Amino acid sequence: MPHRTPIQMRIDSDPVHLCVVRSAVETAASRFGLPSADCDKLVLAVDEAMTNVIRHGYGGRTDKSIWVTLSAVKRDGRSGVEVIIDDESGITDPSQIKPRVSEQLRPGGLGVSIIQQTVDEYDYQPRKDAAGLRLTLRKFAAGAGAVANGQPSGNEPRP
Amino acid sequence: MAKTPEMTVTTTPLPDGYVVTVGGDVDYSRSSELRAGLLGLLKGPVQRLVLDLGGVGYMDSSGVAVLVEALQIQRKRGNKLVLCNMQPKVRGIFEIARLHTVFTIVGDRAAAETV
Repeated sequence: MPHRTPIQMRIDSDPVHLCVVRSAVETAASRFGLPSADCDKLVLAVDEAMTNVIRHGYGGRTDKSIWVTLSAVKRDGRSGVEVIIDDESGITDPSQIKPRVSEQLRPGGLGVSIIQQTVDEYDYQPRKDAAGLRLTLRKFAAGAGAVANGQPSGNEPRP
Repeated sequence: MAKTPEMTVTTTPLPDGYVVTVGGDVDYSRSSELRAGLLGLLKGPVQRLVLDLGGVGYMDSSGVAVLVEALQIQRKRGNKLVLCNMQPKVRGIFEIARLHTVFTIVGDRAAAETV
């Protein structure tokens, strides 16, 4: 369970604001006890997730809202950070969010795969209060591989 | 809070191509600008394209995608694309994307101009 007051932000879906969220996540994660290398990975995951919302959820529109909530969490004595990203994309089926499976060299499609590999847990759920998705990311100090939707993924081959 | 650096791109000619020096953060707000610059250079054949990323403190997958596209063009033409001076954080995303073995990545510009 989170043990500090969450930090909440609402930003416009303009890519110029991505750097603001990266800075906030980096600072908060560091203050919440995450080592530098883990902060970097969490920042990347959040940035990729928000870019996906802007590009795919909102079709590039810059006049929509994205809500980001940062919380300190603990698990098995390890410090961690939980980031919740809420959108109003109208997408309510998390199965539409899929990582790229092809090994072919081509631009694009790496966002979800990067999220999988940089955080310990990630979970897409339809929002209860609006038409959109809620992405919950958790990163713990000295974390293992990503767990999707609460299910262990330790036996999955790395892409 | 430190100011996030804007992306900068400068181009320097080589005897057999160009060095493009990139600085700042390359994220979704800036990657299209980098793409336009690189594709502009690559309108004609460029035997050697060096990307000096020493000043890049952050790159996301949209920035990586731009470099992949440039690499594909160079490969198709039998020409070179070399990345140099990568900061550890930027190299990290290439490793996550399993692209660190696909690109030619060297330590410094001198090596990039001769590899």
